[in-house]
Amino acid sequence: MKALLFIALFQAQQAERWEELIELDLHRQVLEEARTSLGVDDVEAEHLALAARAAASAGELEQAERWLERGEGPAIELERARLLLHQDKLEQALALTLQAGEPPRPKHPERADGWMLPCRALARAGELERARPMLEALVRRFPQDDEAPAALHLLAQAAITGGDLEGARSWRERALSSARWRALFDARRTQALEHPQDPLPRLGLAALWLEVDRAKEAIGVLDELLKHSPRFTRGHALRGDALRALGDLDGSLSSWSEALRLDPELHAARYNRAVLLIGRERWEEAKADLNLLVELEQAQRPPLLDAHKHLAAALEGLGDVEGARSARARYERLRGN
Amino acid sequence: MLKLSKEITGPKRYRRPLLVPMVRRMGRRILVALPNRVNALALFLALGGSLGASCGQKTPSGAPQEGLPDEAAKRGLVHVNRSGGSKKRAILEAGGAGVALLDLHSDGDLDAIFAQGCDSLEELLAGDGADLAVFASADGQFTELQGPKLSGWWTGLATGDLDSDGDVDLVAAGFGSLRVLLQAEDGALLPGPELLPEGARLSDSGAPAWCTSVATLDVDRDGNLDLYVGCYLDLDPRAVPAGALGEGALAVPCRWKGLDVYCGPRGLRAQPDLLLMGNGDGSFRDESQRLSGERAGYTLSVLPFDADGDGDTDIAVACDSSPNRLWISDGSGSFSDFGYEAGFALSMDGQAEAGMGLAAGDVDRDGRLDLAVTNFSEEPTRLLLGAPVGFTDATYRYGLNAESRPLLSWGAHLIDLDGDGFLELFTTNGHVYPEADEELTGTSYHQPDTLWRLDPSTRCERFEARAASSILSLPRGTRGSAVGDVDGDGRPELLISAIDGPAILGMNRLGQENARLCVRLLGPQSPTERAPRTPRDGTGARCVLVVGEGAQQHALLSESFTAEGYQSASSAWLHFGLGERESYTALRITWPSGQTEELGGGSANRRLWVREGEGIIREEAL
Repeated sequence: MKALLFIALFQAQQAERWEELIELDLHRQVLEEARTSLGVDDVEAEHLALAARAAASAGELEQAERWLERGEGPAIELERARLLLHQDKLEQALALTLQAGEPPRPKHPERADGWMLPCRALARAGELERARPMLEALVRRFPQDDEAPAALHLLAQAAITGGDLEGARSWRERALSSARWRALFDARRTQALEHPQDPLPRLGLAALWLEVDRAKEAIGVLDELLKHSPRFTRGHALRGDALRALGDLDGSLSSWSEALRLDPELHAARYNRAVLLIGRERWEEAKADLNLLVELEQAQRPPLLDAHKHLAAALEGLGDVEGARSARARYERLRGN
Repeated sequence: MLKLSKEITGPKRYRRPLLVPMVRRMGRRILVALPNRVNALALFLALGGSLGASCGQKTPSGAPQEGLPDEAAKRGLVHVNRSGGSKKRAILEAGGAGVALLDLHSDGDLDAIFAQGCDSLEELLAGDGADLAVFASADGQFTELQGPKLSGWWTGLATGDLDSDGDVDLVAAGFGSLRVLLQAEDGALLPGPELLPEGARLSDSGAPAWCTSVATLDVDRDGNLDLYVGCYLDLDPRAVPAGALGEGALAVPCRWKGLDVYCGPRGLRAQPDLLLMGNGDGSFRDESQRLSGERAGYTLSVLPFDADGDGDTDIAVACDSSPNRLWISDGSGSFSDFGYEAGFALSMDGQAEAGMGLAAGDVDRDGRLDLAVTNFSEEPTRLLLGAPVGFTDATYRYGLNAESRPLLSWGAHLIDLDGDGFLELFTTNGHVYPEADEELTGTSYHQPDTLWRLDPSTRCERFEARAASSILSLPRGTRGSAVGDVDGDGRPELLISAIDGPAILGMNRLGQENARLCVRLLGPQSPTERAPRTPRDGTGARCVLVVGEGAQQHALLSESFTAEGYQSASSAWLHFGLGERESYTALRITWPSGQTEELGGGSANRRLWVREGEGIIREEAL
């Protein structure tokens, strides 16, 4: 049983890795691995589908077909649709990916490509308007999927065609922002593959996940980072931010404290820890952090300026009315009031 | 079909702008459709029936005939392109060069000019740059002439009567230089001073301005030809980036499919395009501020044409790895970029593709010019049909995605080579990376050129090379290409520049049984008193040839421009195919001055010279 679980976990990780390699235009690597690892009988459909995608990209369509013939299920069906799209067989791709009847509904709504592939076929066939509801659903359900920028772009084009200029502008802005995020994400992943021991690319990746409120993914990346670089202080600090976003306040206090133990000059981590300590009425500890911060030159302006205000709150909590008044006055003066 | 014929041959249709402007004002930002226009998609579906039918495989009537034999060497066009080392370690070495077909000596024969690069960057830095290669033609046989004694790494060529003296002149664009060469009375090309404005010769980082492509057009309809200059990126020839761009762990490796390749364009700084206004004497002034919007975007090709059918000239710009631009004129010569709104800037997936070359022509015969854009491998050559709102992407319905995905294409032409009345799409092909020949890339460094029949009622059909001598048979790396009737038989030929290889001249033996008509549109010999005026060489004039009667009647639209393909200049002659018909019904011309002329019908298989206000001033049998 344990062995089976281990194999399943390994396969899931391998599929995830292959998908990443394909997204980073490293199909050849996948294909080379697939040629050896897909020799056995019992292979997951997801692996066969990804290997087929890599083969198609290498121009090996027959090999792609052979792999697809060995599996069944949504992954295989959608990969077939992808191949049909490569061959401009739009109607056949639609038949594979849509349920019967109107309005168009995807056969495999649990997957982002289950939505995107029929939308792409409809758009290519000149029926973008019919795809619009599915595109809207896709960007709602899978906002960070690598297909999201394409879906948002198609929505912008549909709005333009329909004369909805405001809508077009709004979709376009979202498409651009999503494409920008995706480009950075891919660059960071490439850098991480290139320099697996260097913490910086992974730190950037985690920051990108946090930017789109995906703290869980950020923590996953940071845990991996800290496994390789346990003394990388910015990793601990960002982990604290991510845990706070998830509501794990003890965890974030612990991460920030570890970051500050390694590098007492991490002002943002100290500030964040102090604010959290105030929320928990741990006035003394907060005061200690804030006293250090307000002495800094950077604390005379945002974003550290607020340290004065928080110091006033901490002192108030400790009953030091005079000290609190003085800190608040300093804050107001620096703020220009 | 009947409805279409009536629509597009109606008496007033071509006396007015074919379309309302794509965008009248920035605030409007969208095209308003004329209610009675035929929608290109509706037309497509009407002709093809259901979606299934339109995507089905049909065999077009008439099998492809004898192909396009390469007769460059046989006809004396012995020229070998030089473009750096074979390993292509710098991006400058990968783009190859353009070609031009133009009439030097005004003898009616089309002569050939090749832009030329160097064997290495070191050679360029040492000051031993290349000259242009000039070949004069007499009855289709070429003799090499002495070049104009330029020295540089030349890529783009443009043609037009820049000084309004009645003969055609040349502009050469290259790495660090842009030069006008006016044609003297004896046919010699005399180089003028450096055209790049003082402030634009070096970028902020000190890299030379890299002018990849240039096109002639009349921006403000004053009758003087202006120049749109496409610029590429900052490349320091003394410190060519290699391996990775950026520093340390945050550097991005210069790789393609896991293989080490030269760096760029992504990651290198794009240079802004320029708009130079002509003074009518071969000199120019910089008025790039007429382009309202982002001008920097790795430009590789420029095609000026009337994209929205409102009578003025717009500019399509193919950009490498950044959004293509569609500069729409407001009528006074100021431009705004509506590439995104028109569906031209990005792929259908919202990706900036590697735009290489451009072609325009009325593929679906609906009275709107359509666009073809060549791209990188795994990106299709796109076919965009003119529609009431911008363009409709017909790439996939024509099956062009499946056809062109393995190809990296450069020059493009929408031209009726076989004379059957429908346009074909020709592309030159070849990968930028020699590493494409490694295993599992899905493509190859050398690729054969391609020609597809674009009958609107079916999927595109690729012409097969039937002989080893055909330009469609041999895998090569071809880049610039120009169209023109080199041997005077009325059928347009293809002149092609192959990177690091010999020039190619594809003689047109297609559709020998089909009737043709060649039309040369010319502006007045003396400028009219008041603008708008037509340039003396007729640039920007539009011609509609009405063919057939009743239900069979159709109209063929063409526009006089020479900047087409990839960094190249084609002949200004318009070539119409009439199939089995021996005559046409009418010839309608809209001049850039706003004047229109309707000439009656006539017999096919002729070459006509038409001058604004004078009608047909000369004709010859083919």
